[in-house]
Amino acid sequence: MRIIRQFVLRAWNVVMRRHGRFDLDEEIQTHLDLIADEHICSGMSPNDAHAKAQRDFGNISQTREAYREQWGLPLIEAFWYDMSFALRSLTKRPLLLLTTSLSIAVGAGLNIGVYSALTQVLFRTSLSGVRPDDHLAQIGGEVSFPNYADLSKSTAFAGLAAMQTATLVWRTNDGTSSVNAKVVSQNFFDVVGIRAAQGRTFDKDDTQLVVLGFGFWQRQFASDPAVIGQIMNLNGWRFTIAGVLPRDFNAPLFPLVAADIYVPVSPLVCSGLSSRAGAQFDLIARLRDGVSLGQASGALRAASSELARRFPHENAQLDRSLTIFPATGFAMWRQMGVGRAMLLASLTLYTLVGLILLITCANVTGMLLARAEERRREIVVCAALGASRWRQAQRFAAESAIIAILGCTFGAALYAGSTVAISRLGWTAAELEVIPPALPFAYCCALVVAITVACGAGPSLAVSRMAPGPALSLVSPRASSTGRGNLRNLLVILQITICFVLLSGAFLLLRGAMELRRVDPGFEVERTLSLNVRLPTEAAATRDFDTHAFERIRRTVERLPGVESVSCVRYLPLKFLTWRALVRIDGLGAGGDRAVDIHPVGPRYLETMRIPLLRGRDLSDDDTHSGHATATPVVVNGTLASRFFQTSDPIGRRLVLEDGREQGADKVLEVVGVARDSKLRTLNEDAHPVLYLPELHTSFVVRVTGPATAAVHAIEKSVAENEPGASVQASPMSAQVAGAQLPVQVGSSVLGALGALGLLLAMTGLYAVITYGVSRKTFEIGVRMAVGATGGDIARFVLREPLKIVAIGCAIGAVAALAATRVLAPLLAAGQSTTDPFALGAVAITLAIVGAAASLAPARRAARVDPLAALRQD
Amino acid sequence: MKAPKSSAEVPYGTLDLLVLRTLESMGPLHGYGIARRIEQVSRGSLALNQGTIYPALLRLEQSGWIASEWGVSENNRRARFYSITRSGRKQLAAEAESWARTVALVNRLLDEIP
Repeated sequence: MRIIRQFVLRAWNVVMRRHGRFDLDEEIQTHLDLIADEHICSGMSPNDAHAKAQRDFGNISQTREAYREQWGLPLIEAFWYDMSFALRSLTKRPLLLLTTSLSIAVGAGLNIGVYSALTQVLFRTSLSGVRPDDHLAQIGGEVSFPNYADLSKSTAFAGLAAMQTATLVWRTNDGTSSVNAKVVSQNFFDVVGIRAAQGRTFDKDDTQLVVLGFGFWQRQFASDPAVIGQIMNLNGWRFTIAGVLPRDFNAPLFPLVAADIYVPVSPLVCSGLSSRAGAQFDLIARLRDGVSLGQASGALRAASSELARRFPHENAQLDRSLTIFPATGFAMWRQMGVGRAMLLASLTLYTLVGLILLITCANVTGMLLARAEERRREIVVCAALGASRWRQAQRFAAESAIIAILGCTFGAALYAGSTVAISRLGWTAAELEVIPPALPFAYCCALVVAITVACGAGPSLAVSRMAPGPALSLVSPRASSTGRGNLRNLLVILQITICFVLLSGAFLLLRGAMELRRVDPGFEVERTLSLNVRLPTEAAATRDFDTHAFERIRRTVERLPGVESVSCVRYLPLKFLTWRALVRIDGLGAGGDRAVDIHPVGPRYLETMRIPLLRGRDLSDDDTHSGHATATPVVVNGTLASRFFQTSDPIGRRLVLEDGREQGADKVLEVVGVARDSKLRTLNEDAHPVLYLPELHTSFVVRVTGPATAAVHAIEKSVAENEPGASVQASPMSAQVAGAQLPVQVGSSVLGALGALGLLLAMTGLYAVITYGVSRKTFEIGVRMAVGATGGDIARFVLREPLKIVAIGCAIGAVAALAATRVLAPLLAAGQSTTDPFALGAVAITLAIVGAAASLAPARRAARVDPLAALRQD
Repeated sequence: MKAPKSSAEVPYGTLDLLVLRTLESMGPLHGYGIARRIEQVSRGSLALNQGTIYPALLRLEQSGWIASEWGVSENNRRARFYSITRSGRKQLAAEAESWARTVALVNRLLDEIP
């Protein structure tokens, strides 16, 4: 209490800038007079009496000093004074302030981002929205719906919920799109303990209701509260929007991927609900109060062995396949067996960004050291006037504190801005919710302190060592190449090396992307489109239905104006998807590389896609009918023909498609045609044997007379009209090609961004090294100028070291880049080599130019040194 | 004029106690009066650096144990008079007791030494 009172009074004095000095002076004067009066009374002369009074009183200035310290809060006052002084002196060097705080901002921003993402993933995953909850447990192993219904009767659980992930087709007036859905049991939200932010969640018997995820609601409905009660057409059925979930809710189980919507379990959205054998649901349980995880595990085992006993055929392994573990945080990851891996990966990532921050701090330290050297005169004078070393060091620490605060503020802004930008990107397919909404403020504060220490320790130490030498000699110790200087040079070389590797990787990928744009996929792109039709019935899975629907839809599409040809395909090209299998020539033994890509396509696929036939014929309607007496007719591509049949004519030859699982299930094929090679998985793949197998499917490819983009809407609309309840999605083939180029584009921009970051860091480092060098060598520069060196000579003298650093960095970087960029080979265009002298040269030139730019300011300052002033001063 | 060798410095932490005790027994006093009084009582066995009482007075005032106001001294000089407050008296009692305990403890320890 007393301490608080004292503190408040003293702080009040500080804040109000009250000074007790005048009162004290008057008191001291009275004191002295009173002593003197007494001595005069005892017969002393007034002069002697006053002198004696002074002696009795003791040291007046010491009293004043002690009084002043008691009056206010000297430590805090000094701190404020230092901070405002540092701010004023830094704003006089705006370039320095900007470079240092920006590079700290980059380091700190990365750090904050990685820290918050990691803590989110590691410890809060699935807790967000779900309050940290010891009662929630996850059940490992999937179960069928009937089994779920039986298990939920167990008394160990207060509630047991089932969920599965599904992609539903959402039809609007403008067309259709697919949404990420979680199909959940009606009690799911009660079990998890989540209430809707708007509207409500599901009741016991709800089926045609849908609950929206917050992100989806924001993106698709512009956060309109009036959506509740509206209708969504999903998979051809009408669902009423019941509510919207809270912002930060991630469903447990696959917690990182937030679902767009939640729908109740019903035959409308999932098939096979009545089958006890088809395990398809994940379970999450709420334990009863007082029931431990161990007890729940026992109960689960008992219930599942009971089910295994009752249905031995369907539930053979059920009791052994189910486990129960915490549904939250790190315990969950550990139970999923990835705890150690997650921790290790997080530590690696964290160390990496920590190192980046350390490098930025080293660069800033370099600049501050140069600054301390420049101000040697001022520091020495202060020391001579009685400033303690500690006090001087404090003064310089204040500068690093200012830089740290500014840097972290910028960094936090950078982080906040990028999260906003990422959330604006709006991944409709899967919204990754690893980015927490709030800034970890405490962490930022800790970061400020750490950065202040990291950047300020070196300069402060250097300052405290600058003692006033004999007769105030201001001569700095000659710039002998100290160990620390070498270390800093090494650090900058390392930065340039890393930067070189990143930039050359980015450059390679950029060239790769340009090459890919020129690659001919081998099929018609501009005038073809894909058309995916999903029929609203379970029967869609059966083959007869496919045949039937295929015929019907093909007829619909063929009749449309502008349509030239229609066919179907299981896997669209350039989707990175294929079915790989082994093939051998009938009658011959197995040997050699027999892996081929199987490409199941419909009749006239080659003609529709304009893939030229080299020999024989295209697949026809007859080929797709099942029940070929002898062999299934197939078309092979050129590579397959030459690999399996060399120069002989493949037409009429027989192949055997091996079924990996069973011996007897091999399929005999007869080659009826040879097609020219075309790209199947990716644009940059090497030629690979491909086998076109006849199959009917409701995923169509259509060729039209005009540009495909113009026809998409009309085709979608007309099919949707003719197939009530079906969901229809059409997209031009050019979208496929663009998608195939995405990895290279993303790769080059990520590497490019990292490279630019590295460039920024390396250049601030270089700048620091040169500035420091110049400030240490002012005397030498003065001498050189005095004996006749021109400004150009001096600039060359100053630039020698940085140029050496850039050259060494580039040399090591080039070697490292040659080794490191090999990992990029799969992303590059076919025929593009990872050893690209052009790329290396371009990067080296870039680095040299930027390096020169970084050196320009200090070099000019050096060239402008006034020799007289330099010699007089130093 | 050097202080005699026998006179000790004010023991650390006891100046507050001395000041409070002086104000309690003498009523309101100015800084010089307090210093004089302490010196008188100590009969020259204490070398009080008179200036040191001013920071101490400030500290005591900030703690709320003494109050001060400007007044006029016996020989018509403007001076600041300090007086003990109620919480100051309480503090004095507590400190006196703890001091007595400390002294007793030290004495006991010293007596034990053969």
